[in-house]
Amino acid sequence: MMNQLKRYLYRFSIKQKMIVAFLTVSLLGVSIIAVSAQFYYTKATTQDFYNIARGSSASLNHQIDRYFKQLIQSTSAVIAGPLPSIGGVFQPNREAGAIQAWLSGDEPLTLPNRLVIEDALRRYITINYSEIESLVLLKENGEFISSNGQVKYRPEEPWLHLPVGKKTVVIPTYVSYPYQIPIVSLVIPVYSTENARIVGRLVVNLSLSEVKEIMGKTSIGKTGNFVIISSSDTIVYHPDASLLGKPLSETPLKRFRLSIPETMQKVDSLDYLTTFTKSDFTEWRILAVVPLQEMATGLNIATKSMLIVLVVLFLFVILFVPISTRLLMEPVVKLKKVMHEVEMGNLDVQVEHHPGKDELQSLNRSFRQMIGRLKELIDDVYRYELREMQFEVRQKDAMIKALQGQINPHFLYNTLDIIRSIAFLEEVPRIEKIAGNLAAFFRYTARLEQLEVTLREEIDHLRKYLEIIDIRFKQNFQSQVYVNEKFMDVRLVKLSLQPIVENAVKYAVEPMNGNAAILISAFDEGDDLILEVADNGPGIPLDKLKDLRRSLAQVGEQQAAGHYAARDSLGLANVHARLVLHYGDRYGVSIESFPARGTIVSIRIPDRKVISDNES
Amino acid sequence: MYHILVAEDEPWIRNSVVEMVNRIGDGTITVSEVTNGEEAWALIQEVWPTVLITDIMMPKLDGLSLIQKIHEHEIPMMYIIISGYDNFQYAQKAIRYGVTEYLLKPVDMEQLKEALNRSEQNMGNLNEISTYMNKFQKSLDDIGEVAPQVINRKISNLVDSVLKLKYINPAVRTNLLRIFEWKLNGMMKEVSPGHSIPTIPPGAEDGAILRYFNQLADVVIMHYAEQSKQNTNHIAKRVCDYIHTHYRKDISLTEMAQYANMSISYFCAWFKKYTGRTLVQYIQEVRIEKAKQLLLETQLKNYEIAEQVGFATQPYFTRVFKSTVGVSPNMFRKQMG
Repeated sequence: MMNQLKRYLYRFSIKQKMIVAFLTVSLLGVSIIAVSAQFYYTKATTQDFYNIARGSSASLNHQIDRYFKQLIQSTSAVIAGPLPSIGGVFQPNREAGAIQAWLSGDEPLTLPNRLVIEDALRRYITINYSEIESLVLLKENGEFISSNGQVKYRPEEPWLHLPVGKKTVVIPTYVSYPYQIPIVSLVIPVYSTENARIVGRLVVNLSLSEVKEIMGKTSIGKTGNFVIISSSDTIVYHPDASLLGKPLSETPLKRFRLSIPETMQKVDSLDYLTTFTKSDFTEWRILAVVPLQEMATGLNIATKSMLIVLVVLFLFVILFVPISTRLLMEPVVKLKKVMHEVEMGNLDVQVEHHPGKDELQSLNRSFRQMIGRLKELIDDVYRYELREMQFEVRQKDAMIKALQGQINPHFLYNTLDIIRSIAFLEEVPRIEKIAGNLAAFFRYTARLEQLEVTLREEIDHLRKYLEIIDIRFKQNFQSQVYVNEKFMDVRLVKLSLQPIVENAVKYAVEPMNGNAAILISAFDEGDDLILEVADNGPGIPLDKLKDLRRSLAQVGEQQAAGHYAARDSLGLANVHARLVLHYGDRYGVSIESFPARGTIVSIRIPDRKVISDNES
Repeated sequence: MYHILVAEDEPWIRNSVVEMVNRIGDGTITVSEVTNGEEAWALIQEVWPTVLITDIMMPKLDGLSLIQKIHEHEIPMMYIIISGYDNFQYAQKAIRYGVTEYLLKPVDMEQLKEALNRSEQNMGNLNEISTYMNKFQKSLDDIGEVAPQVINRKISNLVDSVLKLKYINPAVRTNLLRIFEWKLNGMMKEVSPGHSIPTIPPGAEDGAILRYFNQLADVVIMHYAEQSKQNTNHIAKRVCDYIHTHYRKDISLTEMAQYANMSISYFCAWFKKYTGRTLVQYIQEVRIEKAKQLLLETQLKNYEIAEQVGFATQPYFTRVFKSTVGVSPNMFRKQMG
């Protein structure tokens, strides 16, 4: 697994890997910062929100409670009174004590009294709280007086059937009758001024204008708002007036979980922060709802700046990393080039090296030392081989000299000339001829400087050889050279024709006791010249012919591949090898044989009259 | 008719080459033979050959040095080198001395014939020079036998005729005069080492040149005549005796010069003056005389006689016999016996 990964990584250049690594590291860093910033910013923002919202909510609650309490207190005067005026002796106030009298008395309400009370109630409204929609006094027996006069209330009016209690009851928002405006009702117990017994209730039907006033001043965020929810989960106050009095379940707020304060919740793919405080008096909850986004402007800035940093970093990596990698990689690439040079066998390369702590520089230094050592070693080996070779050459030289001493050319030719001279003086022409030809034959063979000769020289040499063979086999042997004069100046590798004829003599003429013929001819074929040596000897058996051809092919391949296979004898293979070496593998010796009829050996050479390039 | 000198140390090869030249010339060529360069150099000054056929590897003085010497002395001559060495440096050196024929051993008669033909064609003035030289040499050879005045007149006439070549062939004239002077001076130094005659400046008048040569000839003739009369007779007799006893084996010029206690060149001149022949000619004559004797007195076969008298082979003997005596050995025996 690890290895696979490594292998995969080796496919890419170090530069690519460095870019990826740099990018990964920087992006990872930025991302971690972004995520943690998001997290902590959110947390801090949320906490801030909770603090502010709770404060605001509590303050609102307090204001509303105080408002209600003041209102309740201020009503007690009305309820107790109206009090008799000071100057009542002279001008008796009819109103004084009218409400108490009505509530604690048993007499049925007279119309004048009702009018007086109604008037008192109305006056109270006008003087004190204009936002009061109506005041309704309820007597225990069900009689009631409304500031609105003789109104027929609905039987389901929430305050109508409340049990009598000492506690003031706050009825959350509902739609009033008959004016159809959202109101809140306070149901205040009315005590008798004589015996403090509860004698009835005062219902204060309040329009929401003052609550609105209180609430309206406070807002949170752009769209965030405060909502008052009653203990029975109806909307007491909401900036959207159409929602007033509705149960929570019928409003958009139904999707929020509102049982626990200080929560962050996701509604309609938006994060919302909610919190509330509960009033002990009204048991209402003042709820603050704000989308997180609006609260978290700081977070947004942080996110934005994070993004900017990210982009800058990205650009930086993209721009800077290639430059820096190039700077870093340059010596590596140089070293790589140098190593490649060395690999190709050039040990004379210059390895730059600057002293310092850079690892690559020390690598350069090591490499340079290594090359130095390598050169020394190679030189050593070379010198050693040279010595070895020189030793061998000297040995061979000595041997050749010894052999030459054995066959001193001057001695040889002199002796042959003496033989020839005696034969001349004694008039034995055959000996004269053999001695002369043998000397010429040796001389031609021994002259090593020439690599290429003309066909004429080669044929002259061949004729001398054939004359010897002629004499050797007396009358039996026959030979003919049919070569057109126009081919005589073609150049060919020296000693390529005569050895073939010698071969024919060995395998065709000798076995037949000289009773055979050899025919040498030449013809051109395209740009090539073909020399044919034909004999009428016993021919070559098929299997031997195959072997022979295979060995020729092998020799040809070896020559073409540059391995010079040293051969001892000047056989067909040797001639073939030298021709292939000199002219290329298209040329050389080929062989055709017909059992009991003879053999034809062909030499293919380029039909050229100029010295070929290989001549040195 | 011209003269060829063969210088070769191998007797068989020398004989073969001489025989080849004889066959090629068929009586029109005179052949002399020597066994090394030193002998050749000495003989050249006596016989003035037109063509030199020489081997390269020879004792004492090798062929190329010999040619160099001839070249340096500006003696006009054609050269044919026969060598066992197929060596470029030799050939190059030879070409520098004007050698045009370089034959490889073994030498084929056809090749030699072609080479000689080519040389003959390129001879140019050589024949003319050769003729004058032969006349000059003949006059010198006569010293001691003919009256000094006669010899002096002959030489005077010869120089005069050479001087007349001024407008016809100035090159030949210059060449001949220089050789005459060199030859006479050489002879003078040998016979009278203390003597000297002031040389004439180049471009001197014909009369002055003629007088100068007359003076030289006078001194040489006078001293030569004195010396030859003195004490060389007994030496000549010893040399001839030696040849008469040792004719069977190869007798070289060097060997005989040593025997006579003379330098090779002096021996050459001396022997020729004394016997009227070169050493080889003399030996040949002795051999033929002995052969005649054997032919008449014994029943020995031709080849046996050839061997006994020192001829290399019977055909060679036969040919030499015929050319000297005029008939073949068999015919001689028939006629005389």
